Amino acid sequence: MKTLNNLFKSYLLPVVIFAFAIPSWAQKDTAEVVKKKPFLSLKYYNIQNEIHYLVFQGMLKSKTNLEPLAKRNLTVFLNDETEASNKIGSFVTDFEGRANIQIPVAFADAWKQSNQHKFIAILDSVDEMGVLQTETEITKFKLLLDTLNEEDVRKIKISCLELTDTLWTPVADVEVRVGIKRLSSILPVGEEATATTDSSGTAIVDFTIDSIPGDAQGMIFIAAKIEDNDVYGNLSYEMKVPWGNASSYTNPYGKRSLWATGDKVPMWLLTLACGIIFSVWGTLIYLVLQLFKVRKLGLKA
Amino acid sequence: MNSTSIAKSDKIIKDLLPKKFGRMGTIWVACLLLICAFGAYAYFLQLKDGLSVTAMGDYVSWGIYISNFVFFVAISLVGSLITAIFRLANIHWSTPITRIAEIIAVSAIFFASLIIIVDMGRPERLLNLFLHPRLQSPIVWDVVVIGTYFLISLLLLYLPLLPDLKIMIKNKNTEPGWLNKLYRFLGSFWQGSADQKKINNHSITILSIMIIPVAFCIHTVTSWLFATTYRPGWDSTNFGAYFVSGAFLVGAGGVVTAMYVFRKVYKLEKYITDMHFERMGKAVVLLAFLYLYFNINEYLVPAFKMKKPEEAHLTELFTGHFAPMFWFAIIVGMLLPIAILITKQGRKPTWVFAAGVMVVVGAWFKRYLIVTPTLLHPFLPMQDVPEKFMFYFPSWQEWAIAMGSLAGALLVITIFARIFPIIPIHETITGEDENAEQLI
Repeated sequence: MKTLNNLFKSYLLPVVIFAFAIPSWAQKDTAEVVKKKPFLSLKYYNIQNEIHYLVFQGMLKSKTNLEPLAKRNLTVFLNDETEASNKIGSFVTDFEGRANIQIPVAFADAWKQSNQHKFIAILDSVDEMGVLQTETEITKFKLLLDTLNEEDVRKIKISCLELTDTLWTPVADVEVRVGIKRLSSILPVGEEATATTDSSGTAIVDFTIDSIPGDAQGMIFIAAKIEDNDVYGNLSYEMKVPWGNASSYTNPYGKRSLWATGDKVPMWLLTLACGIIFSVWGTLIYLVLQLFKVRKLGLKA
Repeated sequence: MNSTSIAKSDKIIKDLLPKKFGRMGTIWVACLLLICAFGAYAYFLQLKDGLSVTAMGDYVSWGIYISNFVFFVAISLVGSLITAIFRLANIHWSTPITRIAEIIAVSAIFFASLIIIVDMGRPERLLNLFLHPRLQSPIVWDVVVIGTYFLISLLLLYLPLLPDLKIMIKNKNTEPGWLNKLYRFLGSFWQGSADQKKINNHSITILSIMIIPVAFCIHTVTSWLFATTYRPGWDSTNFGAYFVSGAFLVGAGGVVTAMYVFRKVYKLEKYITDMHFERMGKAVVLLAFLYLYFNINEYLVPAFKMKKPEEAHLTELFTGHFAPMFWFAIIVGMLLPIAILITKQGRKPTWVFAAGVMVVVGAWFKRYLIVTPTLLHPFLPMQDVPEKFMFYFPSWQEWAIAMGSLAGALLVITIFARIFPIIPIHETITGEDENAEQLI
């Protein structure tokens, strides 16, 4: 009995404790995985009503942070993911969990066939979550810009059109950001940064800025943008207009200076450097010639 | 001329003529060749696949290659210290170590040039530096000054070698045929006539004068590669003097290490005496104090102000990721050598050798600390970049190339010592006996 008791204490008890502990650890691990929620987005972009592409981004969202789903295989389909011919392509997400998806020319016919399209993105198995999928649906849309000059007031006219059957019909109540294109934003030209289209599908914004620097000819870009619209996606349109002040740009690298290009070296530096280089190398050449003289003297002797 | 003088000269010649490698020497050369070959293979991979085989990225664009470059440039300064400064100051006791100093300088500056080409990734683009130079750039100044320093060092090695070549041609039976051919090619014209000696001595004096400003320039310009950039850790007006003092220290450390090795291997106790170690030990301790002074300036002053951009860099060095290496470089590279060499007992050959090794090893890590931590602390925070960009640890290819270049420098010194006398024979004979000139 004593032997059995010892056996139990020495071997069986630790094994039993260990065996019970495993499920509790496993439970903890599973709980940690479950805590993370996938956050996928697939956005449609259209530039100048001509170039369109999609941007996918995948993140794992936990309580404290967002972890990008980096280097994951992604497959994107047009309209129906069950048809292999609808596969737009396979992609790999970058370190931010992002992938840019260009729509190949081969899909031109499929694109023309309908006014509405659905894009489906399928991400390969993510940890214990299995295959993840997201989709976005868009209706074909046109964003246009025009300029007006009424009573010496410059105006920007925005038109929003949706493709219904074969006709482009105006769309009301679309919110559009409008203004002057800047490096990564749009500078408002009036009191409001956005305008909303009326029943004719147009919105008119007064251009109230008196003085804005343009290029050498005074040209600036005005731009309109629809962002994260549930039906149409992300669209942008820009147009060049002569409403800026002509600005003359003087290239600071054009003068002789320490920060200019190699051919614009300051004269003092050029003189100094050449003076030093020629005097040092001149002396070295003299010494090499002296060496030849020594050689000549030796050979003569 | 008495028979004692003749016997004495013969003894010196016999002692100092180059000797064939023994078993240890052959193993040493084989090991160096192996490391060089491995480095060459790693470089072949880098040429094939590009700089992507390295761990360098957008932030740390100068890694172990540039650290190695700065180390080589620094150690090369020893040529000007021993050969030129001691020669011009009429210090005669340094005669037996001048050639050791010069060959260290030549091999170090040669590998400094090579490693900078390795860092370029595309070696053929070096040509662009000459075809489209931008004189305003310290990089162009560095290329010019390195080329100049290399040629001066080479001439300073060759010109004092001419009288020794005559001795070696005379004693041709001891060497294989191809070596005798080499000696004849290099020095058969040397007759030792008064005119030849006059020209030669004049040339050596000019070179000794010229090498000092050029040596100061090479180290100052190398420091400017960093100091002309507005970055924490590099933005310092102190950098030129800081580099020059550090270079003097590592150069002197390199010489005492080589002195000890050559003395042991070639049994040169009669020529490289305890007095040489005593005096070089004093020089090293003085230089270590000088370099320590510049280090205190370089770190204490910014640490006292703790400007925000400097803070991350300094904290990383003092207590952060780089702290073990930083304190190793300070303690082993400066404080311990000072502690050893400041006492008379510490200036015995073995202790001086140990201190020399510490100085050289500490100096290598110090160069790494000058280059890398600063690059990991840009003014703008590192955001939205892959995690690997935030750290730097050299890839095996970088280690192999860096170690290959160090082995290459040692190989050049070893082979030179096999072919030519490592202690000037002619100067030693004439130094011991003014009349002995006629004997050789």
